[in-house]
Amino acid sequence: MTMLQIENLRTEFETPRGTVTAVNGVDLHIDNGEIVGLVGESGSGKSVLAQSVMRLVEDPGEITADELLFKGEPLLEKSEAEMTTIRGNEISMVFQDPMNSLNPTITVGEQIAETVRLHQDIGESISLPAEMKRKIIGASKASESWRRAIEMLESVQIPHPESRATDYPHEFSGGMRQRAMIAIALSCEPDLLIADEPTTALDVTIQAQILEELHSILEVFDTSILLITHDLAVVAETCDRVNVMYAGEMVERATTRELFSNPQHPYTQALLASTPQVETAVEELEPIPGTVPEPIDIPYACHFAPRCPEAKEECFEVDPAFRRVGSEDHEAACIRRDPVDGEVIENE
Amino acid sequence: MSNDHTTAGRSDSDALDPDERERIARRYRDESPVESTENRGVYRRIRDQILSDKKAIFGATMVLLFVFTAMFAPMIAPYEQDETFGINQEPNSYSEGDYTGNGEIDRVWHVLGTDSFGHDLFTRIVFGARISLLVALTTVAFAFTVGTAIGLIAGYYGGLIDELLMRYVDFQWAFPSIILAAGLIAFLGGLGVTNVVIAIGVAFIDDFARLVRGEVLSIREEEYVLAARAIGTSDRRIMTKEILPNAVAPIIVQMTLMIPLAIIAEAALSFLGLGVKPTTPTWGLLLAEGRQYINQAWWISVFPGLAIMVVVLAFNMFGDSLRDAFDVKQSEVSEK
Repeated sequence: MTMLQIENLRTEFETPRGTVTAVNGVDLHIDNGEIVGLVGESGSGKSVLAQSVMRLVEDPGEITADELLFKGEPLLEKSEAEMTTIRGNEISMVFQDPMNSLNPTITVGEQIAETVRLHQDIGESISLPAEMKRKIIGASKASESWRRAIEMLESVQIPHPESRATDYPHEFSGGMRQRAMIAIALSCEPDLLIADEPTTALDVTIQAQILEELHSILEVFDTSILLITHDLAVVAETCDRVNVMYAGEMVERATTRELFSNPQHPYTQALLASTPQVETAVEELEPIPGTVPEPIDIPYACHFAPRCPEAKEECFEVDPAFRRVGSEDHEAACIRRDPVDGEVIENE
Repeated sequence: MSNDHTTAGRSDSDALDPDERERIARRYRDESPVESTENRGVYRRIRDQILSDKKAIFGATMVLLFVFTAMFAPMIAPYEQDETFGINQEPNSYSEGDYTGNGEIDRVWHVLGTDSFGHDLFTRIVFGARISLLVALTTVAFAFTVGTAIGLIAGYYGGLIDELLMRYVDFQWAFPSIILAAGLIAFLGGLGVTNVVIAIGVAFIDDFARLVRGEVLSIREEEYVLAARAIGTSDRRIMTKEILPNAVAPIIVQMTLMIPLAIIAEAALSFLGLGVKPTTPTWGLLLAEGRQYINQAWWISVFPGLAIMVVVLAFNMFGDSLRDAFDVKQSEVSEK
């Protein structure tokens, strides 16, 4: 079954300098129990895409889509109140910077317990006076939500969860905070977890542990994961399928194995060439020349054309439709690639 | 040779076998306290900061003394607040007369003298502390509640709501607060503590609103606010649980700095005859009454004036040191 189905999603910001199209007609789908990667440079619109799915884009952001279906239900038609019951409960998010994503004035355990109280009917009041009382005399250690908080901390492998739960975020290390964030995100057993660069701020050993954590989540909680990153190594290690994004548009999608062994879009190829590889000794890495264009009224058809080594004049003129370029579901949006079996997927 | 040398230091006889190593490691793990004490006490830091600063100690002591005086005024004051003795008595003088009504002549000492009605000045000042404290606290509480609400809503929602609320605050900002308070008292009609509190409280709203809005604008961009929204927290909850607790330090400091201003404002209103009822003992009223007799009886206005000065100064010093204590960056620098 499809967990998340996105078709032609656009997120635009009206600014004094013009309309910024941060996400420009993106298609994406995530199946049950799948880890899907979303890769791209900084500024390619990955995070905005993630926030658009949860409808967290703030004014003046405007989200439109032909389809934004979560478990078959259109998210864009939900009211704000309905969205608050979905956020944290059915779709959760883990953020990039674990140093800043926990509230410094609330204990870690309480932050998890609060999420549980918000979404699960366990007979604990979430009214303001009740919360004030909890703040002053401390949350009951016998309450269902607190028990659940400790359980969650244990499941993300925080040592001594009972005593650690009463600590404030500044008493946690970076890796532990990210685990705590994951614990919060998973406390209500969501169906979809969006991890927005969850390992970027962490060093490699912790990164490996967190990625392992994500894998075990998949098994234990049966959660689909959308993993956003700019780190190809992370994708190679974790994801089932990969989507490559550039300047607000998808340029290529394939299974992980296929993408790494047979990259087709010039951007993906350049991205891989600019990453160090252990097996092949390379004298010098090849950076991609230039920078991501500002997403305000990009005048040329293929957004990558000005930086593309293979660009021809028609690249600037003709919208690149997705075409099948390899085995199975391997598709790329580049007119310089010959479609396999002549199959071109029309973009409307 | 050098290789042999380095390995010799960790020869096999010294090395622990894995089981042994694990056993020892576990012992250390179990012994080491899990709770980190690092940064545990914000309160302790504030206490240390105050104790290390002489001005802060002075401020805190005087503030405590002031609160204590106000609380136990009837026990501290030597006489009843409206008992009358000889009028315009000098400090350190005595009135003689039958004040207890038992037919005998009493000799009564006035440490600060008496006023033009014959009230003992020290008694009046002690009771005046009650009014000053009451007015100051309720005023600041009122201004804090309304001002914080305005600042929170304006800062959080932004846009048109922000525009409307803050233009109102700007309007009030541009208006001299004592004139606004005087106007409000005229509007509310009549003298009395409640009206004074409302008048001064309203005049102080803008300070809190601006401060809180500024804090909210920076805090709402923090990732934990976005994270809170991502777990399905409602707007009201984000404002009260995520944003407000993180803005509390500057608000507390602002409160300690507004209390002396409220005391002065109350005194000024009483001085102008717009404050509490004339028979109530307040510092401002004493000051105003003494003005007429400044040539014959300087003490009537000087001592209440001194009381105001000392209390205001004490609150300011206390507030300053609180601000330093809450300012993490500054305290880190001074510790190094």
